[in-house]
Amino acid sequence: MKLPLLKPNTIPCLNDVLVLELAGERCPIACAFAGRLLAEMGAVVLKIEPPEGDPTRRIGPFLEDTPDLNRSLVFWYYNTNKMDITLDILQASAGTIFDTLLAHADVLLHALHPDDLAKVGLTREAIDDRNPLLIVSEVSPFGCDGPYRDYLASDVMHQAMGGLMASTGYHDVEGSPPIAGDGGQAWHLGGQWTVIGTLAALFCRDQDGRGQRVETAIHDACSISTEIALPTYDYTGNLVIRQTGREAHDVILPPWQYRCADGRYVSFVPMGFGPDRWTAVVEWLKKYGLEEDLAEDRYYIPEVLQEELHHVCDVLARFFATRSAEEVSRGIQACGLVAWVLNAPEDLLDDPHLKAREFFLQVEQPELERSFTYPGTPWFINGEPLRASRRAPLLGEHNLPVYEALGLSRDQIIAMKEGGLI
Amino acid sequence: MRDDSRPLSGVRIFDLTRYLAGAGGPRILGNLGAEVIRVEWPQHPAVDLTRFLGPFQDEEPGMNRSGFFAQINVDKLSISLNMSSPQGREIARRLIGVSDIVMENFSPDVMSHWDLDYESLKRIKPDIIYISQSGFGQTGPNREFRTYGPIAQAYSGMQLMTGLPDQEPAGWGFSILDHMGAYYGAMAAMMALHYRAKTGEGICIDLAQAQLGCTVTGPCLLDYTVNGRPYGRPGLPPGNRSFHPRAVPHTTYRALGDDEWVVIGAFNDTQWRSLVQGMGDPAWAQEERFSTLLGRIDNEEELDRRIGEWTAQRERYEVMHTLQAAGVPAAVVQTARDKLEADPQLRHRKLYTRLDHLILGERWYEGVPAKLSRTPGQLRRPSPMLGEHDEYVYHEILGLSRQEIEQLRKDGVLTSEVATT
Repeated sequence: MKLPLLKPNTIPCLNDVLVLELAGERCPIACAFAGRLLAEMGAVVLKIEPPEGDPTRRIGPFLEDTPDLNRSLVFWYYNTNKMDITLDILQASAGTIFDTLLAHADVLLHALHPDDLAKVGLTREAIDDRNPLLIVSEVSPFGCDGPYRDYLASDVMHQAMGGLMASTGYHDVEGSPPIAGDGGQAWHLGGQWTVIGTLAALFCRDQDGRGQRVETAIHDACSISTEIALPTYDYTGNLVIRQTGREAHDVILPPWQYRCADGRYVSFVPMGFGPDRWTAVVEWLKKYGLEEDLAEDRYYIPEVLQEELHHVCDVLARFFATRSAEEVSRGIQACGLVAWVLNAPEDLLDDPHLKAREFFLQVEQPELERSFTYPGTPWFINGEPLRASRRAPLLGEHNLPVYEALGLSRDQIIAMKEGGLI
Repeated sequence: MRDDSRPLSGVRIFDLTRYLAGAGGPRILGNLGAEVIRVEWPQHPAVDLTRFLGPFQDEEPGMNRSGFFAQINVDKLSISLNMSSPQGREIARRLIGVSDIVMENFSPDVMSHWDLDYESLKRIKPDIIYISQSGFGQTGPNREFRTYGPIAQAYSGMQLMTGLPDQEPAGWGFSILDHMGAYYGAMAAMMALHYRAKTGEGICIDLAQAQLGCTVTGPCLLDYTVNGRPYGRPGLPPGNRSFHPRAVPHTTYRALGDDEWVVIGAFNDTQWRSLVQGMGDPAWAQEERFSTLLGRIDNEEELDRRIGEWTAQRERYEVMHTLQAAGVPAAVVQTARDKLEADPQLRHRKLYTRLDHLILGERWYEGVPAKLSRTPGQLRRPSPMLGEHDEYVYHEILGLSRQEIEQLRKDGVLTSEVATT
């Protein structure tokens, strides 16, 4: 019996791998993101949703602001290149079907609660005993056991617990709180580590022919992603201070972010001033008569420049405020230094570099007779970008072909549907 | 020799990476059991500047005294090798010939200038796996631009997306894209290892950090391409609020003490009622206008003020535990100190490992968030001194005699001394 698997339009690294994805309820985005990454690496990812649909299908924004199980842009974003069936795995009748699917799978990727796992017979012991080739890769908010096992958390709360928020925010806005960055980064960190663990288990199996369990905690992934915060505390006993538009340190740094004449901002880290670059900066300011005292020779002495960096940045801030963000960014780059305008995500759609890299993809939604622009992947493989992506599946889109391949008749499939099993 | 307790045992990596985005990937592979040979040189411009970033042991800078470098480079060997010398590059070629993976994050033309690009290396080892990381990728109009984490974050939108809606962007307080760059570097290496195990073929992967940023800005990008709604509009970024899904309450609240914070959220009416109970059923919370989501949205500011009054009198962990026990999502804004000393879950997961280093002494190191049941891997060796493993790599792996090694030192191809203080 062969499952009718759609070969993904993706780069082939993992194209011999079948992943079953069960995203659960507690951290469905982290799980789905991991599945999306595996699909982008070439794996065939078969998402198994409960009959009522994955919870993220109910989260907006929605296409044309119309809530619908097949119109959630959150679901679309995280589920490209996957196949999809529905199955209520917690019902006893689902047991045989689920076992058959598992027997075909290389990886079970899931975010089920331990209690639900036990209900479907997937305790740690059962997993270790059953299919020796199967890799069971679990992502959970805090871990599958331990004192915070059942704790609930949003993306912002993971950023709080993981230390990301303690490093992020403002030092010059009275009473402002620590800030969580937008976009779902805690989910992404958790999903990325889930993929790292899955790939490690996959290669291990390539070497020794055996699967195993992988258990990834989003909290762990966040907790190791705070750069110098931990070493700073370990070595000095100091905590880093969150500060506006720059990285947290145990002292307040000179600014790394500058407001320009057009109200946009430029990110510029004031370092790497060799003598040539410094000369270029001073000459640039001199063209507008805004160099103030920066033309003085003493600034060529590295120690002096370091010592007076706050003052130097004040002068630069006054100069940058008179020019547009584009001009400031290009001007800094022309001096051999590193800077960029703070873009909004949509600003990248016209970016000539990303166009040349063929980064954005047109993804077709044939049932809507439309196609939309999606981001691609972060890499070229053998000189090629990802050239095509399939839209996220409709709910239960592949029920018929998959269940028929499992040997079920149309009548049986209809009965399962009516009985709420699929 | 294969060590069955670690998944990547037997894999050798020729590691030319530096900084966090580059060097962090091989570190993970080292934690998972790969033998990572890190190529270094003590002088500018080749030296990894991370070695000179603080914090330092006893606040004294030095090549082998950086705590930041140490955190990034656990489980690696270090060899000195002068890549500007043709002899050095010849040795590099020989080492690559007995390695599985080459990882580098130089500016795009450096490796081809050295005849160490993928095509050249395929002639030495046809199944070589070649991972290049850079700011913008090996091709395209921006290929020559260098990036730091904050720059790539600015480019992709991540900086603008971090802050309060009515203030300038706060930006990320650390290089999150450097961390993610490291994670994708590790992923690239491992997907390539599987590909090679399956097909016998090597592969070349060109990973671009700024591009990576553009894959993680989230569904708001689709809100623009599908609905025409730009991110750059009033009310965004959301600060700590929850707009998708719309949950009220959801934000930070001050707890007892100076600059101590919790995050509390209610994602449905059940959680709201549990929150009310958890706060001791205060009279104000019984009002009809708070009992529905729409009512809470209309009264969000007052709701936050009221909840803040409750949390301000309570110790932050007490708030979290009380509310979580009642089924309400709640979290403490934890610092590095909290994670090390007050987080029983991280302790249970054994996320931090203590390793002893000749100069740095015993320090805490961040471990591996993905726990493999059969081959867990664990952190084993602290970061290396520059050139610490010259003897092992050149004599035992490459088979050079001690006289040959000595001559290479005299010729300036290897470094003459390994600093031990």
